[in-house]
Parts: sequence; C-alpha cells; structure tokens
Amino acid sequence: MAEVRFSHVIKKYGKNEVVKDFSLTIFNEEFVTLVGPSGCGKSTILRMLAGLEEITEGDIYIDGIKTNDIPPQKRDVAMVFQSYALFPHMTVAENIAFGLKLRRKPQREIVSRIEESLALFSLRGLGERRPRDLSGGQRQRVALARALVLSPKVLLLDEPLSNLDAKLRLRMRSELKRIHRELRSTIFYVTHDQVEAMSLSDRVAVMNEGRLEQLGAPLEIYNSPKNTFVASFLGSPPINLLQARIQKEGETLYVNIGPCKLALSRQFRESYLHCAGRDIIFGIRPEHISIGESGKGKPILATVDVVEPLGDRSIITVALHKIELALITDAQTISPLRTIPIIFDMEKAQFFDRESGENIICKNR
Amino acid sequence: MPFLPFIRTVRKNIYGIIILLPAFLYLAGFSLIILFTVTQMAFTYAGTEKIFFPALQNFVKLAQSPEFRSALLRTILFTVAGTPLELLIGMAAAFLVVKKFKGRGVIRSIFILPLAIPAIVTAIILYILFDFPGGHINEIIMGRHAFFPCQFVEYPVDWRGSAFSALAVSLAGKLWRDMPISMLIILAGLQSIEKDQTEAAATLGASSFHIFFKITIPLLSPAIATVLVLRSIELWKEFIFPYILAGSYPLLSTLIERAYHEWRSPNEASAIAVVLLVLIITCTMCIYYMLAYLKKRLVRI
Repeated sequence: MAEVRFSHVIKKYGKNEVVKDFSLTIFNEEFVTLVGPSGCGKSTILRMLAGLEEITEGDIYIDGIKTNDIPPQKRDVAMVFQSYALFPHMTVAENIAFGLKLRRKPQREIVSRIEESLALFSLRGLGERRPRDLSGGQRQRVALARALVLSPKVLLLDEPLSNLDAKLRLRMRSELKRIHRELRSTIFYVTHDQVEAMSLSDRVAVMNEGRLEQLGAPLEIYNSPKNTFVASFLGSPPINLLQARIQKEGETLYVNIGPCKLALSRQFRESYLHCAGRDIIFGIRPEHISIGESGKGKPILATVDVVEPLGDRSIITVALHKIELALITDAQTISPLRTIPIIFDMEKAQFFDRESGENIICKNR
Repeated sequence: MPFLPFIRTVRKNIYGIIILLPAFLYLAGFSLIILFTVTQMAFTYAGTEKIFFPALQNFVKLAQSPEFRSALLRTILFTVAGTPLELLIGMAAAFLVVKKFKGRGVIRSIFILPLAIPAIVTAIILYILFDFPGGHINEIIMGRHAFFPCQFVEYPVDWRGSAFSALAVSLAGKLWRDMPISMLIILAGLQSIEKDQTEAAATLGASSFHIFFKITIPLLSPAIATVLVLRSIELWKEFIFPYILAGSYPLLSTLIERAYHEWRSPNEASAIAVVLLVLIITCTMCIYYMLAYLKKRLVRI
C-alpha cells in the first residue's frame, strides 16, 4: 500500500484545460473520494493516475516515485471501471487469475488466492461461470476481486456503483467499507454521488470545472463548505441558499431575508461584523430548520407547499414570502397550504459572499 | 377442419410471408433448383446406348483423370495458402485504420477502392502487367526503366508458364480485390471491443503483446471466423483470376468450364461442381470447429 501525491497536475485537450492545477496527497491506507458533477475532470484525474491518460503538466508520485512516464502495466495500480470491463471470454476464476498469471505466480498460489478472493467477495461457487451469467452486483464484486487480488499499491474505483440498482448500491457501499477496513488498501474513489462520497471516505475532495474546490473530512466539508458550490453539492435535499442582507441595528446584527429579520446571536457578532450592510447569500440546511414555537430564536410563519413523506421523516417545501425553502421534519401531521411557524438554527447557518460565492468565515480564517 | 390452424397461422403471419416470398423464390429459382439439377446430372451417366441413373461413373472417370487430380491439388493449395493470407492482409489493414490519425478517411477510402473495380478489369490489368515476353513487370525487373536501375533477370520471366507463378499472380489479384471485405469485417470486430477491456488489462499488468493475444484476438474471434469462412469459400470457387491468368493450370472452378466446353461433358462438369461443394462444406465445418477449439486454448494463459 502506498501514498499518492498529485503535484500541480494539469490536463489539456488541445486548448481546453480539463484539469486545472490539481494538487492532492492520498495517505497510506486512506480512502479518498473525488466527487463532482459529470464532466468536471474527476475521471481524467483517475485515468492519469492509472497511466491511461497522459499528464500535460505537473507530476504524480506513487510512494515518492515520479510515475509520469511509467506505463500503466508497471504502476502497480489496479482500477475498477464503471462498466466493470470483465473479460467476457473468461470465467470468473480466469478473470481474477488474469493479473496473477501475468505476474507468473506459481499455480498453487494462484489457486489459493482465487479461492481466498472468491470467499472474501462472497462469490463462492461462481468461479466457473462466465461474466454474462452473473448479476450486476456479482459482476461488480468480480471486478473488485480481480483488482484487489493483486494487492495493488492503490486501488482506483471509477463510479463503481453507478450501474447498480438502489438497493444493491447500498449493500455494495457497506461492502466496500468493510473491504477497506479488512484489507487496509489505499483507495481513490471517483463518483458524482455525494452520498457515496460522504458515507465511504476518510476524506472527500470536491471538484468543479477541473478545479479542486475543497478537501477535507466529510463532516468538515458538510458543516463548513468553502463556497456555495460545495455547500449545494453535498447534502440531500440540498442546502437552501437565499439572497439576504446583513444589517446592524444598535449592537445586534440582523439577517434580512425578504421582509423577515433574523437576529444573529452574540457569538457570531465578531465574525460577521465587517459584513454589515452587505448583500450576502444565506445558506441553511434543511435539517437546521425546525417547525414549532419553541427553540432558539423567533419563529417565522411560512406556508406549506409540498410534503414528501419518506417514512421516518418528511421533506417539506415551504414558501416564505415567495421564497422556497426545503426543510426536514419528523412531524407526521403536516398538510399542504397550512401556515406553520418555522425556526432557523442560526448557529448552523452559513454566509457566502454574493459575488464570489465564497464562505465569509472560511475566507477570514 | 384440419386446415383451420394452418390458415390461421398463415393469416397471422401474412405480412411476413409476403415480405419473405421474393427472397424465397429467388433462392428456389437460382439455388435450390440448380443445385438439385446439378446433383442429378452429376449422378447421371450417359453411356453409348443407355442413360444410367444413379451412377458413380462420372466420379470414377474424374478420379482416374490426371487433369482432375492435379486441378484438385492446385485448388487445395490455392485455398490453403490464400485463406490465412486473406485474414492477415485484412487484419493488417484494419489495425492500420482503426486508430485515429490525420487522413484516416482518405486511407480508408483508398482501401475500399479494390471493391469498386470489376474483378475482370483487375484480372486483365494483371494480365497486361505480367505479360510475356514484353510485360511491364518483366521490363522493370530486367532494368529497362530508368527509375528502377537494378537488373534482376537477364531474360523475361514467363509468368503464366508455370503453375506456381501463374497461380501466385492469380492469388495476388484475388487477395488485392478481397482485402476490403476482410478489412471491413475485422474493423467492425475491432470497434466492438470496448476500450475499457484493453485498458483494464493494461492496469492489471498486461503488455501490449498480452493484450493482443489474450484480449483482442479472442474477442475478435467471431470476426476472424467470419473472414476465414467467407474467404475460404470464395477461394475454393474462385474463377475469374485463374481463368484469365492461369489458363493452362486449371483449378476445379475453371476445370468445370473446361469440362463443359472442351470435353463437351456437362455431366462431368456437374460432378466436379459437386466435389467442389462437398469440399467447401467440409472445409467450413473444419474451420468452425478449429476456431472453437482455438478460442478455448487462447483464454488459458
């Protein structure tokens, strides 16, 4: 297992810069996820690490060794493709043995390693089947087994779960986490699914338009996003971003959203004092809006627009003076068109610069 | 009413039947009836007083004729040498144009060109090129042209004067003309191989050599089988090139013509045709089983 370091990596197709100055270190045994909307360059980064794509500028190091010019065969990096890319003319066992045989391992070792990985990936008894006779989840596991049986320095996963149905995806997600815990492999995972990114990784790297927007532990990114893009990309339903204005009246700071006026508690006064009188974007996550009279702060009245029950809780869209807001509640008795009091948890709210979209607090730090 | 289910089936599929009818009539008219007649003629022996049917006399006569035996041998050699060459040339051309490069479209079009020229024209061109004693090729290798100053031979070569060179020139013409079809079949096969698979093999440690033999070739085997089967059939029954270029050294196909016109024996001509048909069917089956076996072998590393 190994450490991977991207140092100012740039990828250009002609004049089109797909990856812009990308730097990232993946530590030994770490599970890092690269997440971003489709077309943001995340797969390109993965393919550059695998050696399938040339690097225009910058360097990639695996265990401190510059790998720019090492062909994919010699990088000791295994990759699992979105399409799984199993070899259709080989059985499951032959697929798994492919890399081992190329490394000229003794026959006895190959057989025992195949047995081991069939057991590890709950594929026992399927060794003689062809990929076309397997279900999607089984194919997925074969692809993982084929890559991991080589004990690669780094395991690369390119949207491995996106071809599975929802139920299977959930199972494979916990499976992946278990495998990572058991094998302690360094894993670099690419996905557009923020839930996968949050739930699987030690650290998440959020990308947009070829740029690394933010890197950090999942909760760290979730709780203090660097800008509006990161804030709205993580979380489902997404964070509410509202046009607002900070105003100072006497010693208190207020956030004005439309005609509503929300007081900021004292502890934040210092951080936002310099923003007084400025237009900002006010961000609040749906779970930080509660229904009811009690709680911190003054309740505001809003009209319920849509109720989407999820079972244990419901997503409720309310209209607050023509501004739409999503909130999550476990109350079961809310019906549309009713007027309800809602309370914002101002301690959890985020403030972003209106122009740049940057988080005002992060920037000051 | 026992016919009722039959009528119902016909009614249900009436459009399908109407659409298939022309093809069926065509096949019946030009293949089945002819095949039937030819087989009948092959097994008919016209004696001096009486006509015998069924009789093996024609085949016995052929087996005894040295002309038939050498034609059979030549045909087998022609096909055995030509089929792998057809495949190799088609593959080489396909691998050349499957990668993207500047001017690929032009190169592809040039590769298709042989198809646009009638076989007879190609054959005549080759006839003129390899003429004796004054053909262009002879003049070139004798060093009569300024652009090619080496003199390989002192006296002109009679290309059509030996079985080997005459059939080699015929085969060259045939290969040139058939290359586009083999190329297109292999190209289609190559393009159906997902890039992911070769890339996955590369990340698993396979060199380009291994990728080619363990991934590309096995996945290409349906296309290879198609080329081998189609091309071998074509070579067994090749007529135009040997007819124009190797008149003195007939293959089975040209021998049919000779039997009909020169020997004035339609029954023997039919018998040769039947032999040819049996050869084609046997050979096709052999190729099929050989490939199935080969595919199995190639997978094991």
